[in-house]
Amino acid sequence: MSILEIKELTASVDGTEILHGINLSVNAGEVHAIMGPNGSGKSTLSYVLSGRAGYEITGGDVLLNGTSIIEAEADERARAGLFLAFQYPVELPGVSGMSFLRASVNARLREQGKEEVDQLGFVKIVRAEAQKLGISDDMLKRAVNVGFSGGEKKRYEILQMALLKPVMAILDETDSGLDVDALKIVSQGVNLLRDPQRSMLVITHYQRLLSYIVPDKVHILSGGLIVKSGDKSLALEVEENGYAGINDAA
Amino acid sequence: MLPELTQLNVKNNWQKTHLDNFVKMGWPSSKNEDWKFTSLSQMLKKPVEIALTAQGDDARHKMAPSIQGACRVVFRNGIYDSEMSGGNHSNIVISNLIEDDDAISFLNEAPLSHHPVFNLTIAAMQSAILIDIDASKTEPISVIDLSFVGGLINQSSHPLVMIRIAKNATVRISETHASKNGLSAPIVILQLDDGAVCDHVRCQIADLDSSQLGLSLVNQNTGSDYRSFSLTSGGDISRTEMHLNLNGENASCHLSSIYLGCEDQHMDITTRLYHNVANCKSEQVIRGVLDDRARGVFQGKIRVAPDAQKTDGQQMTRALLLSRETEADTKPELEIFADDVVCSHGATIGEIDEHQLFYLVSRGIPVMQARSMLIEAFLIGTLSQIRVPELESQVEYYIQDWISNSAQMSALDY
Repeated sequence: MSILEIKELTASVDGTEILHGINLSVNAGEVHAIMGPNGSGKSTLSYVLSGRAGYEITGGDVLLNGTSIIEAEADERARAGLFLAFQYPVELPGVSGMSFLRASVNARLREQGKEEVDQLGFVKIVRAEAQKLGISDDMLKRAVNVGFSGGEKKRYEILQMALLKPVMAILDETDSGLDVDALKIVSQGVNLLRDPQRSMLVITHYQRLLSYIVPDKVHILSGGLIVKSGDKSLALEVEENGYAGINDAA
Repeated sequence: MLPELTQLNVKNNWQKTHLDNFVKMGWPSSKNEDWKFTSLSQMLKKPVEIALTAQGDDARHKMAPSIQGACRVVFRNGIYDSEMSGGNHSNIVISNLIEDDDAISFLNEAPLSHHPVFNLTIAAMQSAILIDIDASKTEPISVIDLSFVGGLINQSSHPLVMIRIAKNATVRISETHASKNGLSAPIVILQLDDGAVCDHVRCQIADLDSSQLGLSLVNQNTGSDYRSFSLTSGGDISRTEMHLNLNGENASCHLSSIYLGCEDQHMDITTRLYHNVANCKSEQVIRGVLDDRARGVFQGKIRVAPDAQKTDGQQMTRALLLSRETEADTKPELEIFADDVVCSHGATIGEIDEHQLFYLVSRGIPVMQARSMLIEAFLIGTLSQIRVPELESQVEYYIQDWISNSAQMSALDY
């Protein structure tokens, strides 16, 4: 069954239509990659799906677990199990990392009718997950993303994903700004979270990330439309011929 | 809200001088540069009488941030209340200021004879308390000023406190001003002798029906260290004004201030910092949060005298506006007459950052909670400047409460 189903989705930013009718279906446990050149609408798609203000859906529908989410606020979508790993995670000076993580996790637990975690129990859970991603205690003590390197910020995104246990995760250019070592750590973290109950949409410019996070399907987004879909070999084709070649073929 | 002064029975000549000064000059208009952003015209429409009785319950007393085990100095309606005052004070001497010639000379010589609150309160005060801290180590002091909590209306209160901190003495002071209505114009004077250390937390948490014009005067001698935190959140109109003189070398001060305004409140934070001698350090951090139609004013003057070389004076003010109908006015003034100094000032006024808000919300945190987290984050650095932990937690609790009320009100707008 589809975890995420995007039907004829059109969306505008500041009155300009950026997405012109996207169709996409991601089944449970699948990892799909969305590739595309600059300005093709990749980041817009991730913000539209996560419900960011200013990204207006003008037509079509988006279903999460069979339920339309286009009327839901961003926080409601997140609590329903949608997660966005940011391309540029935002620094939050003065917001303690631990209380931020706990507020997020508890918001999701409340939604599921489960008991919230207390501070002590939570610290243990966070430490265990952080260790897998090579996140130090010192980083956990700091304010959210403040003073983190590019690689640390991306690892912190994956830590949040591990804690929130989303059903659908969107990774927006998680590889940008990462060196090879950091890319490996982040990819390993993501691969550990692959699960029959969890789907992922991996947005990237380059094939490089997809050698580490191997997708079930690859879609090429160009000019606000999905112009081609295929298996992982499509990513290699892009690597060889560039996006121009794909566009011509389409 | 001009108190009826003709009935005022001023006993002392020196008080009479201040009364004459006040009558001659009256309340300042907004043509006066020092009061440019704060108009008293609305306030002056309501007539008040100077309060002469200390009636009223003490419920608010329990709410006021204070230090456990402190020596309490309690005023009700501007009148010293010896029954509610007390507690431990082994090395603290409390006396009537009017019987101390040095204290009176200090008042007469203070360069504030042009200041309306200074003149009025000295003329109209019903109690003036002098606190001497003689030993190096003493209990903390809580000055609690409660006005018109027992049903009195249309009155004004004028408490005056002078605290003299002896050489090398260390003291922690909490100062709270709470009132239900009327006008409060308290004066608090601190004198730090050589090497004295003072941690001071001032909270003004009056109800919205009251007007607050507070004046603090701080004089620091050689090597003294003064650290103050001030919370201003009450009153329909309020001014929290501090004049600080660095009179001895190697003295340092750190002033942090938070103001929280909502509805139609007008709050004014004014500081006058005088670097009169060389090698002193001052740092000021001001953070304001304004909601609804509130207006916040910060005026900060740093004056560096010609001989005050190697002065280090820093000032930073930031305001966070939660609604489009708020206004923040900032006026930094640096008057530097020495040539070897480090002085800086900075001011920002902004809204909640949409990127930060979306980041929190995208994690499932409800919008109102996310907003509260960001407001708290904006204030936390200033709050953590309080060096008295039990006061820090009380002030933090108060601020959280204010933020959650503001969030609830905003939720209704949605």
